[in-house]
Amino acid sequence: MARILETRDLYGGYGKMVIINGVSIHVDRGEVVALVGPNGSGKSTLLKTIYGVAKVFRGSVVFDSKDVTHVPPEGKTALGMGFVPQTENVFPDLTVEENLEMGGYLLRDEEKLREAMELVYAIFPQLRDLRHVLAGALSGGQRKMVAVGRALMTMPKLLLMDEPTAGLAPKTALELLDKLMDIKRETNASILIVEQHARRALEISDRGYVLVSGRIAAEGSGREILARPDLQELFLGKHG
Amino acid sequence: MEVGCMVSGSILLYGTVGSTLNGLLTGSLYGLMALGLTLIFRVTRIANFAYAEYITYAGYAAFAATAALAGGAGGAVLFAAGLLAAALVGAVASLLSDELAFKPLWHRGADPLTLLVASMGVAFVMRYSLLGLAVSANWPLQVQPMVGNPVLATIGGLSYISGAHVAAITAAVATAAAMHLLFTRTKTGKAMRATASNPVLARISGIDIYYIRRLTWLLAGAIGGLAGFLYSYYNPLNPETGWQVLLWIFAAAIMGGFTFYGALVSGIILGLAESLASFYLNTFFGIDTAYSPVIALIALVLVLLFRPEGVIRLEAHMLRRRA
Repeated sequence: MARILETRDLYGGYGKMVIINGVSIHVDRGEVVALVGPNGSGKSTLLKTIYGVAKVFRGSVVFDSKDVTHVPPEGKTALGMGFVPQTENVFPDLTVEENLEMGGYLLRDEEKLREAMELVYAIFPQLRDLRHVLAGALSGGQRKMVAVGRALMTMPKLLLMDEPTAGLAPKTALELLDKLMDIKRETNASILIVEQHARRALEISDRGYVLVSGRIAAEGSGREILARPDLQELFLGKHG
Repeated sequence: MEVGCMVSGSILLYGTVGSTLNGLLTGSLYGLMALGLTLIFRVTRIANFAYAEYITYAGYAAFAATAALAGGAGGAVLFAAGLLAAALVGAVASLLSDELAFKPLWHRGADPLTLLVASMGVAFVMRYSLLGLAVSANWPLQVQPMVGNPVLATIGGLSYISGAHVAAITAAVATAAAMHLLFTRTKTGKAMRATASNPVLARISGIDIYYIRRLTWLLAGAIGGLAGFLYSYYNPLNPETGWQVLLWIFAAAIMGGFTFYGALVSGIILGLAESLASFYLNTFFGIDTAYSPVIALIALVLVLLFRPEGVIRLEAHMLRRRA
């Protein structure tokens, strides 16, 4: 299978602080890959480093056979990547519809924008009724829908998602994860997902990586990782 | 006795009309100036004291452009040249102050207070550079663009409507409406709001926030320049002109809750309050009109104390109606 994303010996962080220490991972076309690991292991920072929101110190990021290591976030989105950050993932001062519109900022014609918006409303019907409400006034769950919907507007070939279910009630979280799988089937996007519900995430993913202290501690199919007792103790026991 | 009453009655009437007209003129200019300040604040969160200097520089540019053309060109050409020169110089001064001072500081994580103090520094540098230049080049103490201000109508032979009245009110209302439409209807305007709301997510959404930022400063500077030109239309300029009106610009922007229609309405309220109240206080109580600035600022304090949401609600209402 062709690789949609690959990081090679990637070092990243903020300012002078190195948090990601030589990570090499890949996502194949059409794959869902879960990134799990204990709190503070650098999962969010890895996604941010890949997207160019955090600083790259060394190594490279290849997307769709192009070296995008030093391409800024807006350029990565233009190339067909998408990112749902864990926090501050909506524009609170804009309405739901305007949030989606900004997600589709790069779409050149109005018709494509409408189409993409209809798709998002089809996935999250609630958002249609809330379209004129400021995103800052929404509940946590509704806000996550806006965050995911915004990233879907450009129909990315690869979607990076940082704990899309964090802070949601368990039932809502599981519903959202199911939605994500629907989205994957409908748009045929590849997904790299960081998830607090590690067990559930590994179950729905093709493969997984375990990140500990900014390094890959283990990799394999979801089932393999779930079956390893040492890893269970490390993080699955607490969060699964 | 009867005659005396009639005379004072007509003075009161014509004085009121004249003060209203003057209040509308200065007020719409305060409002217009406040629009540029509001735009910068909304997108970059900088309370920009240097904004006043864009106005002064623009007025001087209008003076230079019209002086160079005067003699050969007609009134309309002079007006257009003065306006263009002012808008251009205002825009460039505004952009440069961001590129050279504010953006580098923002990159280093400067908070709004630091940026505010930095803007005072930029303002001082700009103001006293101009003053130094004016002194060393032996410019006159005050200058005025060489554009005539035609009287379009007189009322009772005492008060009049001039070209400046029409131009200022038209420009202020049109600019406020244009800015409101820009922010609520256009992709670029929404991208400006998105950039202000969450710059990192704006980049992730594909928005070139540096382009948006440059556009914001250019536009705000051009608005300041336009206002500077129209202000100098009836008021001679000196290197401190912008500084002298800055308090009113901030007052209008704050009173307007940093919304565009709010800034316009607040500017006009301040201009009218100042003009009418000083006329009445002078007529009835003999209070010197030199106190008029105090009146405008009392109006600001009263509004903030009793109806802080008043002017803002206007724009909120218009946003809702659209939705």
